[in-house]
Parts: sequence; structure tokens; C-alpha cells
Amino acid sequence: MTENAPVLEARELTKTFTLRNAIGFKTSEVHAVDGVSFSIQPGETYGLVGESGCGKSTTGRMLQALIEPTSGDIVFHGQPISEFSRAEQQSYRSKVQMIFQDPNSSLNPRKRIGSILNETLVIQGIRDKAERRKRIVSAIEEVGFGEEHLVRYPHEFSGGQRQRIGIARALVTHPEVILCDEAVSALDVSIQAQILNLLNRIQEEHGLSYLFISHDLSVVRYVADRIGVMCKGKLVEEAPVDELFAHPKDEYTKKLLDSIPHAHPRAAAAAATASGATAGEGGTR
Amino acid sequence: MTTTVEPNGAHGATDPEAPARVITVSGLTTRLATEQGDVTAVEDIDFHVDAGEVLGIVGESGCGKSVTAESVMRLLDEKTADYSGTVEFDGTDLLSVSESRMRQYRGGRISMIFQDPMSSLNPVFTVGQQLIETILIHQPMSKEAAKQHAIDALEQTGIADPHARINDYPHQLSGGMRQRVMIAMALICEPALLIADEPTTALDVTTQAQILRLIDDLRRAHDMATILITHDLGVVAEVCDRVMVMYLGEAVEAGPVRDILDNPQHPYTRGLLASTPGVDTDRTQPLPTIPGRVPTLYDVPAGCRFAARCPFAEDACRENRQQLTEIAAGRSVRCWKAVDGLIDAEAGAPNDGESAPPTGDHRAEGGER
Repeated sequence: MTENAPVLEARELTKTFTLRNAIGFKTSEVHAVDGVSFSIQPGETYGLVGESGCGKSTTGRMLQALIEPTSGDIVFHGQPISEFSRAEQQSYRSKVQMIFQDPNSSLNPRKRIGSILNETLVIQGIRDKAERRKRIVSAIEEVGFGEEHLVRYPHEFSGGQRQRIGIARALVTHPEVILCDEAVSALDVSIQAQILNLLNRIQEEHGLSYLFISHDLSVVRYVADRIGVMCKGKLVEEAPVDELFAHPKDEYTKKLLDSIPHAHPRAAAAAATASGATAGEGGTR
Repeated sequence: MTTTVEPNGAHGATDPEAPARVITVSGLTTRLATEQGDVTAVEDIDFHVDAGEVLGIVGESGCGKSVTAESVMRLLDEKTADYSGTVEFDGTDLLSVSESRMRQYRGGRISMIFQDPMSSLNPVFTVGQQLIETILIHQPMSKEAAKQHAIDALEQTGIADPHARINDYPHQLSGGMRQRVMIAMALICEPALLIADEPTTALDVTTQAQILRLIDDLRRAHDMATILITHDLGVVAEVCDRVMVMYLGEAVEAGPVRDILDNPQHPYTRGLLASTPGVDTDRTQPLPTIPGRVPTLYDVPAGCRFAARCPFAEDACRENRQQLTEIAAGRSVRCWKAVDGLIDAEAGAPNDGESAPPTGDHRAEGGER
């Protein structure tokens, strides 16, 4: 591995879903993701934004190896994952973890937290019980809980706390990349801020890379280093955060940025002057 | 803003200088009987909305903003819900009229838009059938006339080719289109009051911007009073004239929207604003957060309900219940320290959110345990 080599790359990723009618005949095809390429550097947060149906979650699921791309490659440390052996595939899954949107449905309600975290490690093939225990305790402490919380059930925690447990579950395998698919969208603002700070701190401490998939541009702006904008399955623009917000090039990006409602008075004023060319409708009141 | 109502609007009877008061809610308290015991979901809520005005109700989940709206519409199951206070609308107290009378108000003079347009529309009837049903309940007319009326209503909400869309089933429409249909249905009887409960939460930002603009245009055109319930302060800033911030069943701060957003007084409002990432948030600093989490309604604190999470709280706050106190015309806050100006003094200049985060971010994490 050379310095500055990307951890994870998407090369011309394409996913086509075939729609079939009730008796199994092909009726049409949907190009959910269409030739998307980007790369994530070590320690970087790459934000993927777009509206519902633009293919951002499908891209995330392909990167997580949950679904196979129709064509194109996912490249991990320079090696396409399609060429991985079974053992390498398993190791890939532990190196690239995922945090889901809904903390309520992504934790098994019938299992204790300790058992949920343990299960992840068992599946990853870590046989040493003491090693599993050590990793579980360190992960749960990392997200601000203690060992005593391991014997509790998910329903004993609030939404924000459950999302922390989701983060702990991602951390137990010592990943290099975490894919956060709308990881804070279901949370209230004050809790959302706690989780964003936690994600930032963990990233600094472990040098993790994040792929942060979200529809919320203000949140992505806060966490990401670079942003890719997706529209109808294609990556229409990619730029460092400040560059994207200051000088959006693509028409769709401009439209997206103009649509953000601004709570902060100064931000609203700034946005009104910045987008002066695009007939100021909102923001001015 | 309310004074710019066109005098030749649909209900031109109102004097543009003094907009008519549409609804006055005073002392609204809603108790709910649940399996774990009785809770007071909203307590002692006062507000009013004038014609052509938009009142925003904001707060996080569980603060009682939706229960407030449902109480005004009396949508809660009256076997388990108990209302007190008054909801004065058209010179009548809605909380004391009969259920059959109430049914005439709902969808007629007062209507409501819900968050999820898919589950609010009936999947087995076409859009047209549902719109026509609404019209015929409130306004006797021929089916043909009602159909034309429905088409006009769809057209008004910006739906392309309403003649074709009227025969579509809800699943054939996109999320934004369904929300437009819901708005058309809510507005079809030209209500005096529209209650919109998180109308854009399920929608994409670009669609949200269109729907908010639509609600705004329609309330101007019809001089309609609107109550907009949302958790999103950005949405409030875009469309509301006045705002009421709720926390754990109580109003903690109320006033003109610009005043509240530029110069929040209650520590909760400050925390909420500071923890919302905006386009000018400093990315190198941790986000200010509100430590801890909202207590449940089963263990409401005795004193100030926000005291346990408040960086400014003292013993006096934890012991004494706070009163909503007027600090300027139309501006009130439920915090004695804010009333005495102590919060500003402790936090530094109120408008300088970046240099003086109103909540201690050293307590940012782990506070939820």
C-alpha cells in the first residue's frame, strides 16, 4: 500500500434492477446506479448526497457487499473485491462496517446488547473468548456506556442510545471504513449533534474513513471532507465541501443547495447574497 | 407580514390593518390515560392565530406538539383523553361542542395535513373519489360540480394534468404529488384554519421547498390561518410569522419568528438552535449539544422541566415551577433567569453563537447515560 492510496474505491459501479410482472416475465429495467466512480482516502469522510431514489443507498449496499454490482468494481486497498477469496471476503466485511438509519429495527429486540455485539465477532470468526470480551468492552466504552449496559436489552435504551450501540457494533470488528447510511436522520436535533460529535471523535482516534450517505446537506457539510452529489443514479458533481457550497457547478447541485431551509439568521442572509443570481424566493423573509 | 394581505382576497371582509383572530387557545391541557398510568401530555398551552398568519409549533419528539394539534381537532380517543381549557373558534368553544358538531368542523372550516401522505390517503379509492367525498360531506352539490371542483383544487396545488391524475390511485403518485393531493383535500372547502403536522418531513429538500412555497402561496391567497408543526427550525424560519417552542408538554418560549431565531432567550431554544448544523457552522469544532435527554412524561421534574439539562440551572430552577412570562409585546419565555437577563449575562452576547456556545460542549458526549 502506498501513501495516499484510497482505502475504498468505486469504479464505474452500475446496478440494474430488472422488473418482472406477476408471472416472471421481464417488463423493464431500472438503472439504479449508473457508472458511479469515487474514492475514499484513509481518515476521510466522503459525503454522498441526493434525493430519495437517486441510488445513494444502493451504492452503499454494493460497497458493503450486500448486493452485487451489475458491472464495475469495488476496490479495497487496490484489489477488486470480486477477486477476493472467501476468507478475504469475510475479512472485507469486518473492515467495512455499516451503521443503519433506524436504530429500532437494526438491533434484535430479543437479545442483550452484549450478545448482539458478541454475535458480530463470532460471525467474523474470532474464536478467542477473552479477545471477544475485550473488544466488546472497549467498543461499548468508546460510545459512552459501561460494562453494566451489556446485559440490557435494546428497549431499555432511547433512540440516540441505540444508535450509539449501532456504532459500537460497527467498531467491535476494528473496521477501516464505516458506511453511515442516514445514520442520524431518525434522531432529534439535540441527539443528532451528540452522535455527530461521537462519530467525529471516533474517526480522529482511530483514523477511520466514513462514507456518509444522507439527504441532509447541512449535516453532510458538517461531517464530510468531500461531497459527491447523486441524481438519478449518476454522480453529477464531486468537490471538497467548501468548494461545493461556495461554487456549485452542476444545475442540480445548485437547486439542492437553494432548497435548504436556513434556521440561522446569518446563514439565511449569506445564502440570500450567495445565490443572488437565482431569483431569491425563500430565505428573504 | 400579515398586513400585506390583499384586500380583494377571497375573504375580503377582513380589515387588512387588523387581521381577524381565527383561533384562540387558552389553558389547553390534555391528559391521556395510558397503561402505565395517566400523563399530562400538554399543559396550559395558550396561543392564537390570526387570518393569513402562520404560527409554528416546534420541539423534539415527545414534546407534545402533535398532541396540541390533535387536541384542537379533538382527534384523540375521548375514552382515554381528557381535555381542559378552551379552544375558541368562530365564537364557539370546540372542546365543549358535540362530536357530531365537531365532525362538521373537521375538513370543513378546520383541516389538517399529516406527515405521511401515503397512510393518510385511502389506497383503494382514486384521488378523485376521495376529494369528491370530502366536498360532498361539507358542501351539497352535484357530483359533476364536485368533480370539477376537485380538478380545480388539484390544479391549484400545481399538479400537472389534473384531469388524468384525478383517476389515479395514491400508489401511482410520487411522495410530493401525494402531499399535494393531501393539501388539495385539506383546502378544498376553503378552511379558515389549516393545521399542518410535519407536512414536509417525509419529503426531499427540493420537494419540501415546493410544498412550503405552495402552503405559503395558498394561505396568502385565501387569507387562511395556519398552524405549522415541525421539528425543523429551518422550515420555521422559511414560512412562519410567529413561533412557539415546546418542551415536555409545555410552551417554553413564544414570539415573532425572527426575534426567537436571532435572539433566543430560553436555554432550550438556544441549545436547539446551536445544535442544528447550518451552512455557517464551524466544522472544526464539536457541535454544541444539549446534554442528557428528554425525561418521559411519567417522571416530569417538579421544578423547571428543562433544569436537568440546562447549563444555567441553579437550585431555584430545580425547585420552582416556571411561569411563561411576557418579556416584550408578543414575546414570552418560561425561565426566570432569562426574564431577569441573567442568561445573556452568563452566555455572552446572545447572537454570537459560535464564540460562546450556549451549552457546555465539554459535556457534549456521554451525557445521555
